Amino acid sequence: MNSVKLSIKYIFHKKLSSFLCFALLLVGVATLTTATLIYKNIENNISGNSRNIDMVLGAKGSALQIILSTIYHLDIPTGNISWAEAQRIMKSPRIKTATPISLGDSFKGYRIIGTRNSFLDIYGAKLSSGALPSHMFDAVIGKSVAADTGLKVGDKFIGSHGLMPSDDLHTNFPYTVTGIIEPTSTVLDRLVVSTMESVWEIHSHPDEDEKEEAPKEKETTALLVTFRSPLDVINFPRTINKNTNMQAASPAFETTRLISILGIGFGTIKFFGCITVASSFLIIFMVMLNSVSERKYDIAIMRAMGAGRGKIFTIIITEVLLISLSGLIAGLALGHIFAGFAGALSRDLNGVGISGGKFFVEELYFSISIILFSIMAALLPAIKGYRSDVSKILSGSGA
Amino acid sequence: MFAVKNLSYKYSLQPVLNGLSFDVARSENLAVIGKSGVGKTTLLHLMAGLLKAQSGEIIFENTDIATLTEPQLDRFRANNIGFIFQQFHLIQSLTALENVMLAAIFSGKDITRETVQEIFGRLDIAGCINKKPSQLSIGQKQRVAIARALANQPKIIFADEPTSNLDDENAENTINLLLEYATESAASLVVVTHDSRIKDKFVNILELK
Repeated sequence: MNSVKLSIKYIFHKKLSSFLCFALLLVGVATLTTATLIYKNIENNISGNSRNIDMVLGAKGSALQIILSTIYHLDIPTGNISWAEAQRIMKSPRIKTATPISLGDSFKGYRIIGTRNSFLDIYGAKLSSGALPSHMFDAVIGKSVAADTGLKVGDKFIGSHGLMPSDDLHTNFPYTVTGIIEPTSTVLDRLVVSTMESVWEIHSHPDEDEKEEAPKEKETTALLVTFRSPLDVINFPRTINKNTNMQAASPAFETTRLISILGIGFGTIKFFGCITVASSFLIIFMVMLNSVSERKYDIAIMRAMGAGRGKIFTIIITEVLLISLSGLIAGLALGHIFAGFAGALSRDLNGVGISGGKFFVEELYFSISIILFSIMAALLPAIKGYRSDVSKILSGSGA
Repeated sequence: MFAVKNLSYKYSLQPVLNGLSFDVARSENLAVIGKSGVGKTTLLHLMAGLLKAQSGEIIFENTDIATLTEPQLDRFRANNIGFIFQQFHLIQSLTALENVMLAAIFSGKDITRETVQEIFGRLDIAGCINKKPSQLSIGQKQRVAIARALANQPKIIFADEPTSNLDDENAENTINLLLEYATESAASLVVVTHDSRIKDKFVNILELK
């Protein structure tokens, strides 16, 4: 038997209050962990998706909507821009790369993007099998699309009109899978990438019963742009917004705005997590202070048996550390499980892949703080035990 | 082994011990008797180093324990002294076995389960080994307390009023057991008590007034 075992005996002797301390800490830590994981996952994935794009050029509307629809593929686009005008912009010497994307169709809920093959370069993506699209109705698919739909290289599939699953199928224009993209941990994993021409072709032949008219001139949804000079990141969009009927949106700016909006929500959740953790320390403090008074005879006897003051101090600190460490570890585990559930529930949110499997440095920070705070909560009770006047207690004349 | 020379102690203004001197030889037993408040417990605590003497000397094996530092006093108690308290004061959260094994934690002596089982056997409480104090009768608690005092093979056992709350039969049993096991373990026994029932069990009696 050693003093750690002795601390464990005391923990189990006062089962109810030990459990209460443990449970409060568990709930607090789980709340903190879940909020941190979900927030960090979103933050990381969001920045990953917009990393290599300086500006998005879309139809007039909300800048945030342009970014959400063309970068995260969450919202619907604000409209289309004229292909002729887009081409004029693309030729500007100030622009380093400009990748057009045309949205409008989907396959089993996965968006079909009509674009150039440079689209894959934005995400630094490579093919794990097959070849890049070279003909009309060739398509490469992201890893998640492949895993979910079971499509393989050489398979044919039919896109449906609109960005949500629908019965409005473009039966006359089947796509052929020519390649599968390696996992990128970006929204690309959940996209179907084809050529501009395919999308134009499909929409220039509207079905008989479709009321929608075929556009008279070629259109595209947006241009994903990078600049040669960092100055243009600020100047170019101004020119666009002033002189054309298109809208320029900055992924960096809109993303920061989005994350700060999310941050307020997650900040509130974390605040409640901290309150719970703090109240668990208050309770640990009170329970231990009470417990040290209750066992003053135990302490006196141990001292009489030759236990040093330091030993008594250590036993009390160890007791609190054991409770807080188990609450902390269980809370972290529960938080990761919760985040995993949240991830499973939010699979429809393209690209905001939330998972319980990742660990963040923030968890380390608050774990260390929790351990430090628990030592602080234990300190006064431990000092009280350390200072016990053995002779007074044993002669029955008080504490 | 123990020599007390001219020992005095007072609590604030109230003197309890005044120029007390006596010796306890190895394997010798002593009963310290006297009314409540004459300083019997104080004397025990002074001898165990739980209190510091204000004047006079307490010599244990040629060392004045007043010269020992607190950690040295802890070791001194852990290695040489066994305590028996009035209410036995067993630790409620531990089983009888664990109460006795505590001595191992604090003294660093290698006390095995087998040793404890053997002591419990001798004290006729082998069946109580895994019971909590709350499950034990008074007689059993008293024997566990004795086992705990013996476990670190002390040179001297201090018993503070070990019989005062017991009926005649249990009191007689307790003192007999204490004397028997102190003798068997070659330890001295110092009992402080106001219980005159046990007087005739001791050859050496020190009466405090």
